[in-house]
Amino acid sequence: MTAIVVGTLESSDCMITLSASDTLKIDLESIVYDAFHAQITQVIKKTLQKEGLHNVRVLCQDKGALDYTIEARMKTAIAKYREANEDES
Amino acid sequence: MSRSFLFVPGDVPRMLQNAAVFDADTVIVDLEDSVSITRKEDARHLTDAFLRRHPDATTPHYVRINPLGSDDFKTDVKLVCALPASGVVMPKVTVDALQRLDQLFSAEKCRLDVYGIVESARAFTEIHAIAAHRLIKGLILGAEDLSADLGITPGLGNETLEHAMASLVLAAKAFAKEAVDSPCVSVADDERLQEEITRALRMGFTGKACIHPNHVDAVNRAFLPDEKALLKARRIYEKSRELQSVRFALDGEMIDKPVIERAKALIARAERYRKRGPSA
Amino acid sequence: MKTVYRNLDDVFAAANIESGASLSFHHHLRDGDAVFNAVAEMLLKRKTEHLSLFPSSVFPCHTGLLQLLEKGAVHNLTTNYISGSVARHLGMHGLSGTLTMQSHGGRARALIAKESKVDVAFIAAPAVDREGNVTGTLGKAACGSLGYGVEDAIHADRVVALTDTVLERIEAPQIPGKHIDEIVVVERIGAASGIMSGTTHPTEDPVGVKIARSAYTLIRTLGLIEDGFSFQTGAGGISLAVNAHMHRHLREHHVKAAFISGGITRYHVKMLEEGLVDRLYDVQCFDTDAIRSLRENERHIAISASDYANPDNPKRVIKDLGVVILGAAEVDLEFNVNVTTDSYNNIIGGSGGHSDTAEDAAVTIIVAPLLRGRTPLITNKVTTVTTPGKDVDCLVTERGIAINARRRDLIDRCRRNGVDVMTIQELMETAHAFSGVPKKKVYKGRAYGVVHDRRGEPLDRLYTKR
Repeated sequence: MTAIVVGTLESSDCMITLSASDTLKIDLESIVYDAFHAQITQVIKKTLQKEGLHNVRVLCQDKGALDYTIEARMKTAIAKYREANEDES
Repeated sequence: MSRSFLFVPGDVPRMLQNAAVFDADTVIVDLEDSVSITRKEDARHLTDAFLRRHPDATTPHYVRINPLGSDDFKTDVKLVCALPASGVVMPKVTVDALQRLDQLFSAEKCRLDVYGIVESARAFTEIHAIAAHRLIKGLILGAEDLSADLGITPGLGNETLEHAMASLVLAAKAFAKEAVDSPCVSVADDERLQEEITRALRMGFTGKACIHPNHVDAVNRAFLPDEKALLKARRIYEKSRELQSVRFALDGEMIDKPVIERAKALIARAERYRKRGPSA
Repeated sequence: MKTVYRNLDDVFAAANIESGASLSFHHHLRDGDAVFNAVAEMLLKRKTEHLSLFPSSVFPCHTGLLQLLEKGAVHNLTTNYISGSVARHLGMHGLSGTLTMQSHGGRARALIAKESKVDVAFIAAPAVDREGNVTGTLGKAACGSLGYGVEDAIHADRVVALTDTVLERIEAPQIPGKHIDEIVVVERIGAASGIMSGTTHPTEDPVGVKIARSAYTLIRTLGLIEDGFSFQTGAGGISLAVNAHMHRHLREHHVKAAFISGGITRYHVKMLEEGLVDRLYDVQCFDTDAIRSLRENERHIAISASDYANPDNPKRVIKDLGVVILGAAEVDLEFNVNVTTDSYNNIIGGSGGHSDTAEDAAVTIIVAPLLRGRTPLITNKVTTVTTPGKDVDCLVTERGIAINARRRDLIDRCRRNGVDVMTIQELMETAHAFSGVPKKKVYKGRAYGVVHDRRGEPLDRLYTKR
């Protein structure tokens, strides 16, 4: 299985790394952790649910991204993750 | 009609989310030149999520798609049709490209306004047909690509470029469309920006594109009718109504129909911009 | 003729500096200051403890202070501004005694009133003559005005001038020799690059540019720019961009300001030289143009912190101030402003002249981005009150302007002139539409510090992070 990295570590962006996992695992590093960790985790979970991806490890390195950015980066990551892993199988 | 058009890259969150605060009359989210070929999908997802979550009620947001002939053209059009966006900016516009876009719009049951970027020598051979096209709301000059196509250095005083500018203005005005000048590419050169603005006004452009937010204010102020001209326009208009005439003298100057029409257009433009407010 | 020492050991012996001592410092050499660290080295060497230190500001270069803190040698720390590793250390570990965060005017008042009792003041002196006369405009480490060191020199029990430049004679000294007890000549008192670390430029960041333009439009709309008015912008990037608008306006409309006060930059000097402002009242210089101007131009006047902002001083310059432009890390619904900590309870600075000028100026305008990354500027309640809302009139952000309901007059003037004014609640909600509502974590570790207004009344407390 291939890990996928999308996004950047620029201000207001986030970097999402998706890799294979037996269960859903979300790791969040954020410069606004105290104020927004629950909201960020929620967006990540919802996007995974909507896209029907469950067995994956998500690493989100957040530099103050708004919800739309997290959602968009997740969607790109999921699309690329599927594409890469379809090629392999 | 917009005075200023601000381009923002579709893949930079920091710039996207602030695009509406710089008082540009129109924001153009870019999927084309400012997005590298490997990040087109990232940019589409970001633009999609941004416009869905933050549809801007006060500033129209257009999306510059990738040109006909690129892998992304169809995908981009589909995306824009599904978005709360005001319209499309089409690079490398040609009559063919507009027809293809029209077909895709029909297939998507969508009809959006289009600004075409005129940036090839070929486009100038059919500039009237482009300007006349029913989708077209305005023409934007793409001076950089056009200059490359022509093998010239873009800049003030290049005769071929200014000839192209004049052709664009003539074609746009002939079909009551907007004529939008190419952005100033010198980011921190205020003098150059002012010179370009002055030329654009002199040549009859109705607005100017910007690739840097700090250029918007100068463009807005320049394309806002100045108070003296506006005052005079109001007097001309009022006197024509008072006299019920299209031919009279005011301050020793003969006023006729075209002058009155120009005065009315100026007043209308000022009213429109007043609602948005000058920024300084 | 004063006694001239060649090293600090002799001074420490002569001045009998030991545990429990109260020592003060000024910060005009900013991030290039070598004086504090030289003294700290002595204190460490002599294993002194239970110290009370009064540096007017603390910069990243002050590693000597960090070492003293790590050894637990500092009992009380009284200052106006803290940045760098000392700020981080205090946030984590606090202090055995009290951290007192003052304003520039408040520090001067407390020294004069002997509330701050200083045994020995160490004056970083760019140039000294044999009589002990001190100036900041000459010497290898010239820094211009010595405004924040003047009260220390007058009111400390003993005053040591550290210098790397001894001149034959100094005319019109900023600190007269009669206040100086000892002179110490060292290799160097500061590094030029660090001294100019305050150097800033008008912001080119588009959000900052927008805020500055709106602030200028507001000032103009309120009719505050007229012959004989006065203003202060300080040296922040957005503030300097507002200053650039003011500069252009004065030139184009042939208006002349009476004075600009506070920290002075090349941009203010240019206005003086173009005859657009009558006087500069300079409590600290930010760049070499300001230093040169202070040396050469008699309308560029160095003032002490007391003459700048001491509330007990009836001649203080800022009591006549028309408009002040200030920054903010947080603003709350009551218009309280925080520039001491960020929203996550990290120390990021301090009042400096913030609360002083806000209280005295006829109109106080805060300029700050509504969102920094995802962190909203406006909160229900600021983490730390630096300047109380009663002294704050307008808030200008990139997405709108709010005016304190207390200033009905200003709100009416805006409405009459077609400038949109939002309530601060509306502005906060505008930010939340982008960021979401931040979860407020309450930082109530151990209370180790207090923020004072300039009369010495406590405004708020500082807590360790856990």
